[in-house]
Amino acid sequence: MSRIPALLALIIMAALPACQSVSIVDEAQLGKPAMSFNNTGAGLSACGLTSQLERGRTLVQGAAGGGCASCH
Amino acid sequence: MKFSFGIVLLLSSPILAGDDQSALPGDEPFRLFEGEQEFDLEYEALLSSEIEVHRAAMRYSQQRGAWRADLGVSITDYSIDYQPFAPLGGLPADLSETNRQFSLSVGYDVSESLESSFTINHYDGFADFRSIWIAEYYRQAFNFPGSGYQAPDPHGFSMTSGWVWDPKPGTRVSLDLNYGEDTIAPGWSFRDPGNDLLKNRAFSLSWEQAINPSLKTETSFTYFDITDREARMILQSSWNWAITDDLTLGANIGGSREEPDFEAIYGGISLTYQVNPRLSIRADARLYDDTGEIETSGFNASAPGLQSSEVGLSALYEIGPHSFRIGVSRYLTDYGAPDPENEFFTNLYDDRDWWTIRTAYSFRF
Repeated sequence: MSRIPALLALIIMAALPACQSVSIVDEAQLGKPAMSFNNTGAGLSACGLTSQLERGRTLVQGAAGGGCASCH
Repeated sequence: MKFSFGIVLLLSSPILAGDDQSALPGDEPFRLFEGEQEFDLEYEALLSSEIEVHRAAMRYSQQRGAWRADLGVSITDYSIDYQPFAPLGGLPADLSETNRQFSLSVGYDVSESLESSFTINHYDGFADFRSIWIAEYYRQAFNFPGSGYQAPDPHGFSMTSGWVWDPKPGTRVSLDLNYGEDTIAPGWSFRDPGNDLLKNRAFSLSWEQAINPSLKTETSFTYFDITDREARMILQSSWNWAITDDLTLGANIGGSREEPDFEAIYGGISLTYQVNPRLSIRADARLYDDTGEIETSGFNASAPGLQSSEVGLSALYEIGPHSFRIGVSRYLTDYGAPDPENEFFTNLYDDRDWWTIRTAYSFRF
């Protein structure tokens, strides 16, 4: 875990040369389900039940969730 | 299934939509179902030879002007073939439990670039299969006259205040503040139940940024504070890259830490191929590794270290406002040796080969 911030910083620095401005015309491409991080319903591919075992991966859930996120 | 399609037809019927042909000009009756609406139905399953979890959920969302309402319900059924750890006794049992959840969220567009929301969530029943197994162990060990044992009644609620800021195309910053209380099935010793009320506070910040028209990233940080525990922090980064118009590569890496010695790290990749305008196929692979849980809430039922892996395949079919998803994955869990103090949960933390299933239907109208 302590290496994660350094790794993220490295990845972001590596991506800097690829930076371009994004306009509203690009939003169709960027909004496709395959490009989205916040899919719901049919757009979401992962089965959420595996979080019952992986306690270090569990995140706070809003409207779709509930229950204690990382306790007994 | 007939029920779900009945709901879809009901939502789109002119009666509920208020299409009254006899209405006078200028009369605008209140229409319950109008604006931009979404309806989702989901079914998920987590299946092994001793444990089955089935979850069905329904969500309805409506955007009306600056306001958005989101309503969700779900039911989760657990079936467990409980096997005590033989040297310490106990009886095998077939366990069956149900968890019901309800959520309501109201959002408001404060400005063109800023949305706020408030969400309440309530559930009744065991939140996961592990707590059912642990509660059965304590029931068998302490449910006798004079022990003071009381059957558990797990339930809880949470409230979340959220803010989403879109300062410019391709950039989104989200902030969530969460408070919740969970009444859990406590651990027991003779006439001495453990703490059964856990209070949770969480803060979550995420930053989504389009690097260019074909590369997008999201970085998120979450801070948990839970009764009787040190704070837990989770950091995660996800990337999506449209290699071509038809091929998208996704990757994510993350980790969490809780003092004094819990750590987890995980990562995964995905590849999505757009077969035609309606059909896309997605393949996923991911790994997870943690050091084992910290003793919680006055008793030791904590899991040993876990290594897990998952590979899956899913298909998304989109036709007009309708979308269908079906996916299946193979999920393997490999636990370390249990601590000698809690070896009576050896069979709970057994290595298992699971199947997962996810199907979903969405209707945007």
